[in-house]
Amino acid sequence: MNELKKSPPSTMQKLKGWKLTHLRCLRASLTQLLSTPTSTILTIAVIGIALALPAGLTFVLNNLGQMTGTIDTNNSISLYLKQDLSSDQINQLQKDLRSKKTINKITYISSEEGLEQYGKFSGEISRQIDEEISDQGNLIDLLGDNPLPAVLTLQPKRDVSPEALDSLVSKLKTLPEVDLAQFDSHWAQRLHSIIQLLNKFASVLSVLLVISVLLIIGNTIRVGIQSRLEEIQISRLFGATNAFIRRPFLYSGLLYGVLGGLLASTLLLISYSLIAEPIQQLVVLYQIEFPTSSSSIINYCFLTIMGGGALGIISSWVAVYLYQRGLEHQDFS
Amino acid sequence: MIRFSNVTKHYPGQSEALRSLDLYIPPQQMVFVTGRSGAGKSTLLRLIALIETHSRGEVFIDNINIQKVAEKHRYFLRRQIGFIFQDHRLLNDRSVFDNVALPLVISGFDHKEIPRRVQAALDKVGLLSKQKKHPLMLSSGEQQRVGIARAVVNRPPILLADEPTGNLDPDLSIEIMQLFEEFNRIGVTVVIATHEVEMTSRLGHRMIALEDGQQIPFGSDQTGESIVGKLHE
Ligand SMILES: Nc1ncnc2c1ncn2[C@@H]1O[C@H](COP(=O)(O)OP(=O)(O)O)[C@@H](O)[C@H]1O
Ligand SMILES: [Mg+2]
Repeated sequence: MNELKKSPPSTMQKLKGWKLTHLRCLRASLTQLLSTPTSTILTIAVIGIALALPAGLTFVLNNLGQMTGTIDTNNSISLYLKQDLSSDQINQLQKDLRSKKTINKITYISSEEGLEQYGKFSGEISRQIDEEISDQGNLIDLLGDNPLPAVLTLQPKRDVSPEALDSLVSKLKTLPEVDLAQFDSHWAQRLHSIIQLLNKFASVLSVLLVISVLLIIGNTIRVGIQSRLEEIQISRLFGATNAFIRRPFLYSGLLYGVLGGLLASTLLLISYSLIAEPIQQLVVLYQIEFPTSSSSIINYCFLTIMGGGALGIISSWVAVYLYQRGLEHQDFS
Repeated sequence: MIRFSNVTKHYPGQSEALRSLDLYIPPQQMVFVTGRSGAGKSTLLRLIALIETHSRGEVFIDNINIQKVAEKHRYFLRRQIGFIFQDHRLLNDRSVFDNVALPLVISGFDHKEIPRRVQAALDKVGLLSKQKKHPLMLSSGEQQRVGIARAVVNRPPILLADEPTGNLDPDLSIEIMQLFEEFNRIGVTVVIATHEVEMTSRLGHRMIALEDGQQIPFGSDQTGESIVGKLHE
């Protein structure tokens, strides 16, 4: 009577069979993708671009953020003094300023000291420029008299509001001894807040693009299911498990995601190689620490490929799950 | 082997395709299900094959109430059944070999054993030489035999065929039926839906007649009567 026979294979056999099954499945999915090259390439291109945008944006913003982090963003104010001041006048000015409640610390840099610093600071650049004007001597020699003004650097107290600082600067500007008064790192602060804004923008954009990648892959898999309904129905009829039906689509999703990630990485690397040199010059010019290194871009590429693969598996899983859930309550064939 | 208890099948927006059907098919029996078009033959087979689910009553396969088996576990029951369609339903983008191998791949057979099994099944239906061909390169009778090879390759204890000779000429039909008799002789339960009462009733197997989704005594409908009359002449 009991004709239903089960002949369980050994664990080793199962394991070997499992590996073979998956390899075959991966190969079959690859063949499937290659059988419709145009639509496959288009899909991968869309996924690649959609992945490259958030990856590239995050990369740039992260690096900018780290870069501005290395810039001193305290609110120090530089007072460039008029050229013809006597040291008494300067001392008097320092005394006056010290009496102000808002100011914490004052540093005086005489024009000679300034020149010395500038000499060190601009060493690299002047070397470069020197090559062009070498027969005319050193850059500073060129300038003749020391052109640098004496500078007072004021460090305001921490708890001073930005509005109070603004009014302080405009008051300082009107002092007769002062030629120019400005925040040293105003631009850095602005850059900082701009980057923060851009970061938020990038997060929103990334979420949207990740969702669109999920939708693109999910829909591609859904279309794939529709075009292979006959095969799926026959397979179910002959006792295919849900996992068996799902597997080739998961591999297709994985392949779409990984190939899209590879394309995105290629785009990232190309863009990086285009901007690497200008960035290097920037680093030299402004003596800022730009933390970008080729290893960090490789990390980003690696993450993009992994992320693409994960998105591919997730979206194809959902696509097949929705299809199979529909079958639970519905006849097939 | 197969038991229907008060089974009703209701397609959405349709009157009942099967009505309160009671039926028992013992193991290793060969049965023909006859009846006019629309009598419910295909529906009966599709319920056994778990292609469709019945609306009321109980269906047992090998004493398992199929309703009690969740959809995601039914694959195991489906592996006990070989199904043959009137229109073959072969996958035309694959070779004959791959079509026949499909049930083995699905069941997770050892990949080394698959070619041997597939070739044995193709040999059985006389198509061993065509294994590399594609289904569309074959004649209708050959395609039907590929469908049979696919259904038996897994050596299922139950074989269901829905009008397997519907598109074939009488000589080919007899050949196909003889093939089914061979499988039945080695212990396979065979259920064949057919409207060719004349040819099949000569083979001397059990006949189940359906009309409007209900079982009627075989021979009581007009077609049956005329055949039985002829047989008695
Ligand atoms: N998928 C379906 N959807 C709706 N009605 C169907 C479906 N399949 C069959 N029917 C109806 O069920 C009845 C029995 O059909 P069927 O089992 O195919 O009969 P047979 O195979 O004997 O010709 C018919 O009235 C037919 O119209
Ligand atoms: Mg029918």
